[in-house]
Amino acid sequence: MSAVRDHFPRTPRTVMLEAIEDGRAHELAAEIMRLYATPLEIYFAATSFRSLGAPCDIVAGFFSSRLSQPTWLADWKARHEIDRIPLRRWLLTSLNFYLHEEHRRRQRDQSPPGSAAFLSRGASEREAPERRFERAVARAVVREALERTRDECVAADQQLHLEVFMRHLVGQEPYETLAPALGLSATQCSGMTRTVASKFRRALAGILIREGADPADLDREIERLMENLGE
Amino acid sequence: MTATPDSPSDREARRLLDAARHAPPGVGESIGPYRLVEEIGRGGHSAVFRAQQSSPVRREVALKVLIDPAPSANVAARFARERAVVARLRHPGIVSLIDAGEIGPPEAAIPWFAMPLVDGESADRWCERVRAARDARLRVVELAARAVAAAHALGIVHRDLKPENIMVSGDTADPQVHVIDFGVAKLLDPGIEGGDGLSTRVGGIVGTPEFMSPEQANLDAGRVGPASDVYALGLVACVLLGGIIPGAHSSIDRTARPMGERLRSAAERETPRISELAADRSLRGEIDWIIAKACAREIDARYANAGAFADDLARLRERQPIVAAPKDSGYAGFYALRRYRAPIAGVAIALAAIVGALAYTVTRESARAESEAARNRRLSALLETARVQLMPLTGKSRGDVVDDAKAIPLLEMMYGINMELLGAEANETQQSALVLARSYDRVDRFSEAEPIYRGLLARAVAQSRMGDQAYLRFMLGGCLRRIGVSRTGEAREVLDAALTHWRTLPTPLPATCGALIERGFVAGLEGKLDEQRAFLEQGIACTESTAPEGHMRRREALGFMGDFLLAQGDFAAARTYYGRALDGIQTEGDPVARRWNDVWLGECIWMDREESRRAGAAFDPARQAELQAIAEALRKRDPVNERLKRWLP
Repeated sequence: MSAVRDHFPRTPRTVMLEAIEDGRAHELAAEIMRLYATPLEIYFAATSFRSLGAPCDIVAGFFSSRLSQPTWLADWKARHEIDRIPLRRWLLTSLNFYLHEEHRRRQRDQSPPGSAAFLSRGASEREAPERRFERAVARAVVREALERTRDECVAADQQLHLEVFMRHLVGQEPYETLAPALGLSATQCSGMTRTVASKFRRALAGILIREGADPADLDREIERLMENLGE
Repeated sequence: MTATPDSPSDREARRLLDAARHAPPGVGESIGPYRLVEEIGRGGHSAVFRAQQSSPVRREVALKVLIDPAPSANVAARFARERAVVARLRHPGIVSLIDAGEIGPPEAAIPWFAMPLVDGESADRWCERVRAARDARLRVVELAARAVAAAHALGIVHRDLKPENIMVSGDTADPQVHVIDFGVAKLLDPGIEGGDGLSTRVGGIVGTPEFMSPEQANLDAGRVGPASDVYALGLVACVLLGGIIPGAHSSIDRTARPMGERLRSAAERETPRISELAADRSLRGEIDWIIAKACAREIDARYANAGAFADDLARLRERQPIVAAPKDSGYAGFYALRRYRAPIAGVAIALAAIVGALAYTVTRESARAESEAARNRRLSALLETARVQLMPLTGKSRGDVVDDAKAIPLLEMMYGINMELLGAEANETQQSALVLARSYDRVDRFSEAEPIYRGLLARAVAQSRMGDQAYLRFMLGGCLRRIGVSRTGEAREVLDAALTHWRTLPTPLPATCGALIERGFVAGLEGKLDEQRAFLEQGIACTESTAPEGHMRRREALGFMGDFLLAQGDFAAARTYYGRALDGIQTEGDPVARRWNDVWLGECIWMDREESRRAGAAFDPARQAELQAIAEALRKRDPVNERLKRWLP
């Protein structure tokens, strides 16, 4: 038996507070942008506000406008304490506000009007962007978790473990063919896969808990991600 | 590979998420009301977390989770069995079950259970960290055996007892011991929950080879039972008392050896004699016997279960006769005298008078029949007789026992009677214990002297008697020094502690001088000769300020300096000190003075002979005869005295 370190934050509140109190708010903002920029761009591109500009410019403007406010993340934390709203939903709501604000500002400034579809969003159109956003978030979360897992494997000199994990789980190579190719036994391969799967779950947990997921309900959150990725 | 870690497709991402869904939870997650705070242990199939319970009460618990996402039927059954075993056990030395459940998707549910968090460390680490004395180490083994006995009483055999699975906390006066990890326990009753065929299957390796009994190492599962746990506890005692695992390589590299080799070593392990393996003669006798019985190769020769083992350790602690003693050791007779269970025939000549005078037998049975007052009167008479018999065996100059071999049975009797009449806390009882310990000490029965010193010291500490603490540390330090170089460090520490106290006093005490000289001997054993000489000089100065001219303490200090100088080859200086020690000595009627007179005189003659030899000159036959006579006299009292080797080549 060996002791290990505590890898993950206890609650989203503590991680945010700690990050802000430690003067790492900037670092935290960069992390949020890295994870959510693409999903928000995808969402924006599917909305009737899309004529406001290029998705990357709009989302960059959104981050610039919100993350520059020192209380913005604290507001989310306060809200999360009340209704457990996940960070991604908070971002989406904030982005919608931002898009409305931006739209009104441009109207006031008599900036070039958008298309006729600009203000007429049907129900189906409202749903589609959110689904796209959720899918993009799921992809981003998996990608981020995988990145962290890879970093952890490299730090632990377990690149071979990672390769076995990827080839077996992602590439669907059975242990019977994978093991001899790598000079390992099937049992060893199975153990390596388990090790990396645990790391991957820990990485996912870290992201999802920070995002506002209930630490006692990680499995449901993972299932939600799977659903959002579709069949 | 079909994907890189950076860009999994949605399908691949789903596979990854599914793998995560089936992976066990980790730090940061919660299982029911338990938030996983820290992983504190991990085995092949399960992990133990320190977890914070939030409701209905806030507390920390140990939460064990099966981390193998695709456990074999055997692994899953073992986890279930452990949970069932922990749920059944109710003993202060075994952690109990608080809660249990399953998490994850139904098709791959992960079982877990929660137990109270034991705040402790493995038995060997605890002993090392607190520098536990022998009695505390034995107490740890005894308490562990008591806990295991509770499991045995329920038909549960642990099968993996080792220091790592015995968690200890608290201080040496009151160690708290918990036996943990019943993960490979065997249930003798197949009818109880979890008691399936898996626990007795033939050929499976369960446990740690270095602590396995021969039958367990031979994978003879049918013969593995409570006595197998007793065997493992005996090996744990070897680790705690002697720092070794008999028949195994060092603990550092043991896991690097092939499993087959480790099992073979365990299967072929001879019954250990711990005093020899640890090169510590103070373990001879009762401790050797107890461990040998616990670790007997034949199952029937061992204690039947952990309770019987614990009982014998308790007898040792309470200074009662142990059952592990060999029948032909004379030990039974020795203890019969101590416990007054039967008249003793054929004991030492010095005892014959007592035994004759007290022909009546004070057995427990007869004691019950007579009134307590009559019994006490009889014991008091016995005590007084013993005191009278002891008088000729003590030195005149300081009242110390000089013929320990004859005195020890009397002292044991006096100690035993005081215990019976006055109880362990009485001054008289403690005084008689101290005199007895000093006699044991002088005849090299250190394993009996040391626990008495330590027990008396613990009482003095508990009652904040600083002076007594210093004196007992002085006694204990000397005992440890005489045990051998393996205990030199401990001796140095206790002697320094005694001297630290005495140095706070305005004037030295007689015992201070002794401690300074003892400290010098310790420095000598550590090869620090300048330090040794300095302490001896301080000791001489101390005796000159605490004892009158011609007192034996002053003479002895000078004699020790003579010994030191002789060992350095400085014969001229040695003669000077021996001469000062002998000057005006009165040996008439004082066995102590007579003994030292012979020793110092003998050394002076030996140095003369040695110088003659080196000069190639003949040595006076009359003086050689004188040395011979002194040597013979010394040999009678002390057959293994080192000086004899030089005097009688």
